[in-house]
Amino acid sequence: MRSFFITKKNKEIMQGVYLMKIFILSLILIFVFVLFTGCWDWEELNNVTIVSGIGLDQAEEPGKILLTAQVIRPAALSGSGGESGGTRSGGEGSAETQAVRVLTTTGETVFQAVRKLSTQASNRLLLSHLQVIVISREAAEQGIYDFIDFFARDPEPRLDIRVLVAEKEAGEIMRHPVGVKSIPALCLYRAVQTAALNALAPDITMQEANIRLASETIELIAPIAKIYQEKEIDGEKETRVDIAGTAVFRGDKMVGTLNQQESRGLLWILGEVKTGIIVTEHAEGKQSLEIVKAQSKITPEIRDNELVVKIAVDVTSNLGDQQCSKNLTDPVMIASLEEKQTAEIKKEISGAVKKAQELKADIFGFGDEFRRKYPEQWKKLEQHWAELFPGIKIELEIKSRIKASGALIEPIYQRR
Amino acid sequence: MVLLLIALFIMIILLEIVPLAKEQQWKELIVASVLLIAGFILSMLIMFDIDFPYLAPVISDFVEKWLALPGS
Amino acid sequence: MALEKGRINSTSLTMLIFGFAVGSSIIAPPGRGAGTDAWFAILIGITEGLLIAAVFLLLSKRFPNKTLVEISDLVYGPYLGKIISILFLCYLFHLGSLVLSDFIEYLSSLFLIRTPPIVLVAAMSLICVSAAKKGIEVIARCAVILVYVGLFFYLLTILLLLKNFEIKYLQPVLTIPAEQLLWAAHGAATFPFAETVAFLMVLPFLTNKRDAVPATFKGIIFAGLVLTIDAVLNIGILGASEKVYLYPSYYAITTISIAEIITRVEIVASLLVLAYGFLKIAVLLYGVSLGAAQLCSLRSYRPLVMPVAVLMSILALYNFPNPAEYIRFNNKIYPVYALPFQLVIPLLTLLIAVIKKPDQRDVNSEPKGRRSPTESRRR
Repeated sequence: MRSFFITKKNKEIMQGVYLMKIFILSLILIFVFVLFTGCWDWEELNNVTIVSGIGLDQAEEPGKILLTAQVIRPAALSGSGGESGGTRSGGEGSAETQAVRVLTTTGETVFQAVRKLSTQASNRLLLSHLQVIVISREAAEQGIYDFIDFFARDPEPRLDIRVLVAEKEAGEIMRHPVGVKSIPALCLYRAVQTAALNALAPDITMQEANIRLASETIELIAPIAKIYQEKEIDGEKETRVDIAGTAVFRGDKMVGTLNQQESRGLLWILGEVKTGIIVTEHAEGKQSLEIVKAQSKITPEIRDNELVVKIAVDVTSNLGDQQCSKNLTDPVMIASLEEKQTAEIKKEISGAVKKAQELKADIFGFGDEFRRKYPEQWKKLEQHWAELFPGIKIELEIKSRIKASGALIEPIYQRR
Repeated sequence: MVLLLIALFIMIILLEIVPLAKEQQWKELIVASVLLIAGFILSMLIMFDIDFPYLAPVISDFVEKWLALPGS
Repeated sequence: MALEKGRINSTSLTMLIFGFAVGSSIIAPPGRGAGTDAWFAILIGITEGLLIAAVFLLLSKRFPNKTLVEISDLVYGPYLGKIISILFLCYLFHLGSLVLSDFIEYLSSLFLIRTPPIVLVAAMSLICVSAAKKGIEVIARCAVILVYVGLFFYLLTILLLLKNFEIKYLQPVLTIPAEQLLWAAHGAATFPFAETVAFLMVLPFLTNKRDAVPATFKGIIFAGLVLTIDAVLNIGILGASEKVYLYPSYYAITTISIAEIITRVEIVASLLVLAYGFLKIAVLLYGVSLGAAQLCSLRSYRPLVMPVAVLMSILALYNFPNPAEYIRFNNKIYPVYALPFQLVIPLLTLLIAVIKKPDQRDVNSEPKGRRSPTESRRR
């Protein structure tokens, strides 16, 4: 087709049109380059301070908020301080080599405190890269919403911020080194994800927290960050931050906690167990079973004025290690090990349900399930849901399967 | 996952069955479709959590039941 | 009726049989029931495998241009013949799925633990589908390349492993009870050597029919030697701990460390194993599809390859619930389960063919073939 147009006659005309086109295009481009370069909302990295984590406590003064922010020092990150610095070395690292600095202030509201902090930081605070919000237990028990409204309303913080509850003070966690990377807040963010991956605690983002707060039935949960005291080594006291269980809220007020076992029970019901270790005791010893695949399904049922929730869990795991020296890799042993696994999961799930019913907090979203399946009856149920929830019966149907035993087909050493 | 499987089967049909219909190889078409439909039904049943017994234990039990085996 | 126009020569048949027999056996080595004498069990297994092979080779010699499906049609008549063919094809089909699940288990327990097995099955079977569709000639030519490349790396691995080899682990030689040894040998014969019975679907496409016997025997003996060396190496390196590993060959190779430079070669070895497995699955897939097409007297087997592969993949996911059943099936059940298909069907067909129609040719030149069935039956 093309060769048809480019005949000898057309060639010159074509070239002229082509040159014209290029000319006009370059004019437009120059125009664009000159006039549309900047925008009003530009930010220079020099003029902002990036906040990586925020801890919120109640100030000693009643009604006031104590805000602790972890801000990043880009200079320390890019230089040699990036790897060796951080706050990991405790007091050793000098202020110059630390990748983050912790700033504290109080304020009547969260926003006021954030603005007050910007003078301390000497720059405007940039919240777009905020990773975690930690709220102290005390504050959470008073009502978490006062603290997180700002982070939902302000356009800068993203919805993938992790929301945590500090076992004691939130500020202390912000000040404490976490993990192996130079920015503790980022480590905490990863720690939450890793804990969720290993089914130790739920992974609650701002988005998930908002959904749960907005919903009338499903209650808010959040992972708990805790500072563990360890043994003294060489005169120095070692402490570390870790994720420990789940905080349970009713409305926006924290009412209790789930320990790690109950947290996994919760995750089983939510269908969010991805991997993890189930420890069973069988044949005079302990075994760990590595979960490789897990699915769960909740089916609510109304049976003559009784609310029943059927929970079907389908688990596949591998035999990860064994402490007894019996040969577990024979069909009969595997079958009984599968039974043990089922029992363990049952224990975890019923533990979580029992605790949630004691706390009268529908953290599993059973209400939502009833609403979806029985929209008519739900209108009646809804009004009494708080009273009905503790009376719900659960029926467990657990299918467990042990698929592999790693590289070994029998233990290397068997006690005789 | 289910959708992916259906897409896979549709692709197989387009690539395998449609050419047969074009070439009017009806007998081939019937045999291939029967096998494919069997495969489709089986995989759908698996997707919808119908548990099939594993084959090896079934054969093992059968053989052990009917033959006294020498110990290994 | 020419469903297959491709022809293979004797070299590629040998290579194909070699790849077929080594196939999945190098990840799940045969003869392990015999403990440190596994190598001896394999050697006996080769002999038994050759005897079983002699039976189907004799059968193929009587009907040089026919696959088993066509042979049984001729020998048993249209109805009984179809039943026998279906039984045989079911065995090939099941064998294919077993090999497939062997590889899936191997990959998913060592490397790709969290990958859904269905993805692995799909990847593996798709390659085999494309090979099987192209015909036996392509598979055979693949075999030649893959076997040479594989052998090169295999020899390299042996050289690298020799440093870690301890002959003392193999001693004392031949101490296990004869019964156990023979059972292990029988296990080795049925898996993998006698599985070459699947070549009843392939042998008619040999260019020179006279080469069938030497080519098959060469392939089996060759594969047997490789497996024997593999068994010797495994025991010589892993010693007493050899018996506890699900995949001893893999763990033997992980010990390679030459000046800490040549290390972690097990992935390369695994890839080669995968290549041999591809040959085995492709041949079985081809055999089943071709057989099914002949059974329904279709004009082409190619449309059946994909549906058969789909079914084979589904079955592969539903073979073994856990390693315990895997071991039980492989060690105890399979040697018995496979015998009717590997030995009884070819032998019965051969005998009936001999009785029904007095031969035009002399098939009695190999008395070994006659004696073998009774011997194997006694076990």
